Amino acid sequence: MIVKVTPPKNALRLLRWFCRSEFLEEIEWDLEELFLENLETYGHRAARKRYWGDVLRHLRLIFIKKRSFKFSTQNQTAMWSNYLKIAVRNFWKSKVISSINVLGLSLGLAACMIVFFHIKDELSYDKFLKNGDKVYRVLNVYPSYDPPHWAGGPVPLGPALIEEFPGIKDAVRLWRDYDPTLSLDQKVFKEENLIFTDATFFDMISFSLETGNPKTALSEPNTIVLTQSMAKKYFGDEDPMGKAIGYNGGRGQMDLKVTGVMANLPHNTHFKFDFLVSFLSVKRQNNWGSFKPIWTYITLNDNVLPEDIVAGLPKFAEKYVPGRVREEEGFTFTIEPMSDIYMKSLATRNMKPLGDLQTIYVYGIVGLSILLIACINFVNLSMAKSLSRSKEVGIRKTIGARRGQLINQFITESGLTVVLSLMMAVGLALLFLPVYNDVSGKQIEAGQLFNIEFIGIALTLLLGVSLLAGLYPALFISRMKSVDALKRSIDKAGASLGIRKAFVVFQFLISATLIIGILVTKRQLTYIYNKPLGVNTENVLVVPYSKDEQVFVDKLKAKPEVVSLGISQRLPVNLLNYDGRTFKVEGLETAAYAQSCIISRDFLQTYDIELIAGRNHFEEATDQWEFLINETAVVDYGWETPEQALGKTVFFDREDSVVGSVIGVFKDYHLESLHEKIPPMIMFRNINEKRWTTWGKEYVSIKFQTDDFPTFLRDVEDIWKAHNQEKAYFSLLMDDSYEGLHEADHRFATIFNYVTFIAMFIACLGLLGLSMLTVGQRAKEIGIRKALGASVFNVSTLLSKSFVKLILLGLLLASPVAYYLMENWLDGFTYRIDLGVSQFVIAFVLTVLISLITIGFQTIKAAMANPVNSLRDE
Amino acid sequence: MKGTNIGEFEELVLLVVGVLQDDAYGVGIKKELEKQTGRSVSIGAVHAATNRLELKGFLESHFSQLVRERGGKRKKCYTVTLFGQQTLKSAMDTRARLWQLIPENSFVVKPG
Repeated sequence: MIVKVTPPKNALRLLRWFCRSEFLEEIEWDLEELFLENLETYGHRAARKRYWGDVLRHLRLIFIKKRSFKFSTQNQTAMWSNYLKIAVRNFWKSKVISSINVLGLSLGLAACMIVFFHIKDELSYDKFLKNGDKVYRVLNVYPSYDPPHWAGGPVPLGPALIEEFPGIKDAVRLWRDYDPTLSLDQKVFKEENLIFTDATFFDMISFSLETGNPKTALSEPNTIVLTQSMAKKYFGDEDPMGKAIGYNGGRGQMDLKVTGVMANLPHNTHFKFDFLVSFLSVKRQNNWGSFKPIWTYITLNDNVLPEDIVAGLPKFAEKYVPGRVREEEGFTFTIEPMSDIYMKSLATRNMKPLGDLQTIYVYGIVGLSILLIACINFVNLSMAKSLSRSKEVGIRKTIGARRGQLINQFITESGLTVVLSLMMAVGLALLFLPVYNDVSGKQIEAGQLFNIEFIGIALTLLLGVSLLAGLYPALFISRMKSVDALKRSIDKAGASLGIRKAFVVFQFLISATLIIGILVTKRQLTYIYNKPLGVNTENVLVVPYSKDEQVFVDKLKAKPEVVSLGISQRLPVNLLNYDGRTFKVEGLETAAYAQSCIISRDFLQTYDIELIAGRNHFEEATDQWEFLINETAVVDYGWETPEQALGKTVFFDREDSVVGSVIGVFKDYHLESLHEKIPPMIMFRNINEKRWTTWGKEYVSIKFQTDDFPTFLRDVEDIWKAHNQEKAYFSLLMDDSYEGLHEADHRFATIFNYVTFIAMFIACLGLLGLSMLTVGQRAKEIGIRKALGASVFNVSTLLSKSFVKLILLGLLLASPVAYYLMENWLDGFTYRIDLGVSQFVIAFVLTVLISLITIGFQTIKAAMANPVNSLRDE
Repeated sequence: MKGTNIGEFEELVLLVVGVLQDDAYGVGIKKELEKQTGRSVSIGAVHAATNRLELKGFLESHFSQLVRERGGKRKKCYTVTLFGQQTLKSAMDTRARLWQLIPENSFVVKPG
């Protein structure tokens, strides 16, 4: 028998489907002829392939049918309107299930939207700055430290870089001054965000001036640029240009001329300042041994690669940075692009807390998980509900509905629900926005939300969710044979039960993971609060130093509330007040490094900083310098016991005018958040007050004991002000500033709480809906059981059992997931708790309890019902 | 009518239809084109060109007798209309005129 080889049928079908009939005959003829020829020359396979190719090459406008008009007929419209009508009727028929669906889905969508805005905002940092990828920030690298990267370097770094590297076009330094006071006439303010910067600041970093010339604003000594809100604070509605502001702070005392006003900094930048003062105002500029909060930014010439600069930096560091720093630490510099600072920088000591890419991922995953839980609810409920609609499906099929039409119908129905939920979600998102802003410390306005991007996201969500949540039930229902559907033989649909169960397990996996997460974060934060810091910040009030020290202190000490009083250069808790110094120590071959702080009077006693060796009080009348170091310094410098450190000579400055011996070792205390390690520290008293009058005297810390704090506070202020009119007064409670250190962690925990609540709520909604449907479907069975003598308890355990099994399985699966995730989170802390069994057990019990309550209501109601009612049906 | 001008490929197709006379149908045109120009031509491109040329009035077509071995299909054959012939000639004339306008010795290659 001769087998007649024909062109591929599907290709022909495709051609006939898209091609206009008037061209078809010619095309088919030619294609067939070519096919027959190819068959002989190239063989069967190749000929078929070529045929396909030829068909596809006819996909041209001229041949393609204009179908949209031909397709729609009256009948289709009628069917669509029928689908809509049935959808609306069904929605109203089962109000509770429908509202569970809509509520769950809209909550999930709203959460997802907020997460989206959060991520978008986080990623927008510094993106508005031009050339963000061409400006680099210089970092210090201490290979032996953890983390090794620090931002902030020596004063002369910038100019030296320009000099040494021809590839570097410009360098700009930003020196955050340590809380100076500014004054204008009678107004005196302590300012936290004043920065000294080089003249080319505005060239490099594209902030613009509202008034003033960006080229010259900072090119002269003693000039200052203010942000708008500061201009308002000092000058009100007056024009500030050319006016003078008095400065009194770390860089001496001077009058600054206002040469420009700039817009307030947006929140999405890693820069933080209210004032820019020209760097030329700084007198001493050549100290390489002291690392301060001076951030250096550079730009490169065209065609210069950052790698080239980085390659030359170790040699540069060797040349300039004093050996005592370098040799020991393998110290060098490196650079990072400005646009990456907020999200990717590894450096500590930044102008303000940076973002974290990992947290972004966590938020993203959590947001999607919530949406997933909501979608699963939707799928589960639609599928369960569809069983009760099998009769409708059966009749539709019998009358002649094709599978595609049924799929259309069910997807339309889910699409409608999704549209409704989406609208509600927008409302909910707007409602949550203030809460979110409050928790996250951002200022996202509602107006920002409704842009093209948002509409894009909304449409994607709409399509995605309707397909995701609608397709499976649609496929599942439409697959039923019409006879089965009419007979309501549900076991044919048994396959779906497995998937529904898997979904429930998955939902509880997520919820339980989140609950474990809450418990662990709570415990870690409590641990942070209760961890002995080595420093007692309770009942300590801090005020600025006052010039008539003796009189002032005597007056304060005369007050019965004052327990003790210390004067210091730095405060125990403050992120940016570090003063890293390198110096020589007797017996050490290499330089020693430590955070230094000058103290006097009873500083250590005021903060209850414990002494572990030597003595902690200074000789009053002496010409010997006396130093105190902390435990970490003892270990760092290679001594085995604290006692070994005692009596060792410290050469603190280069001119050897500050030389003395270690008189004591104090216990480590935390300077920063518990994410950070405790650095080595050194403290000493300024004994040469004639030469350095107020060196190291910035703060007066007062330990007090009083029942009437407001009065005490007012008294202290009065005493202070009686002595000091030109400086700004302020007061702060040390307890508050310590709490501020862990603000980011708090935010994380609060957001986590909200998220978990929403996730659990949605999961429970789903459970509630599912139990309602199950109970409804098993009403007759329950009736019979009761009639035969089953007790209420019997019936309700029977009903709950199946759910509880699923929930337990979800919990079991959740444990490893949660363990892994929380271990990861805790690793971010240097001082952390260990994960215990208790958190897991509590989470398990909590989840089971919540779900039992959710199901319980339904099951008990069903079990209590009079069997007559359910059996009488039909 | 908008398209009285024709493209290079269309011009070639028109000429080939003229060459082939009775055998001017899709596959025939494709083969002759490939033979004469040496480039490979897809049947889809030929169909698009012939049909567009027919719409513009350069070509007209007729169907052959039913062919039994090919399942009773007919073959669509083309002839060049008078309008098509005129267009071809004017295209050729334009070129000839332009060739003549080229100053002598400025081209290494000579016409003809």
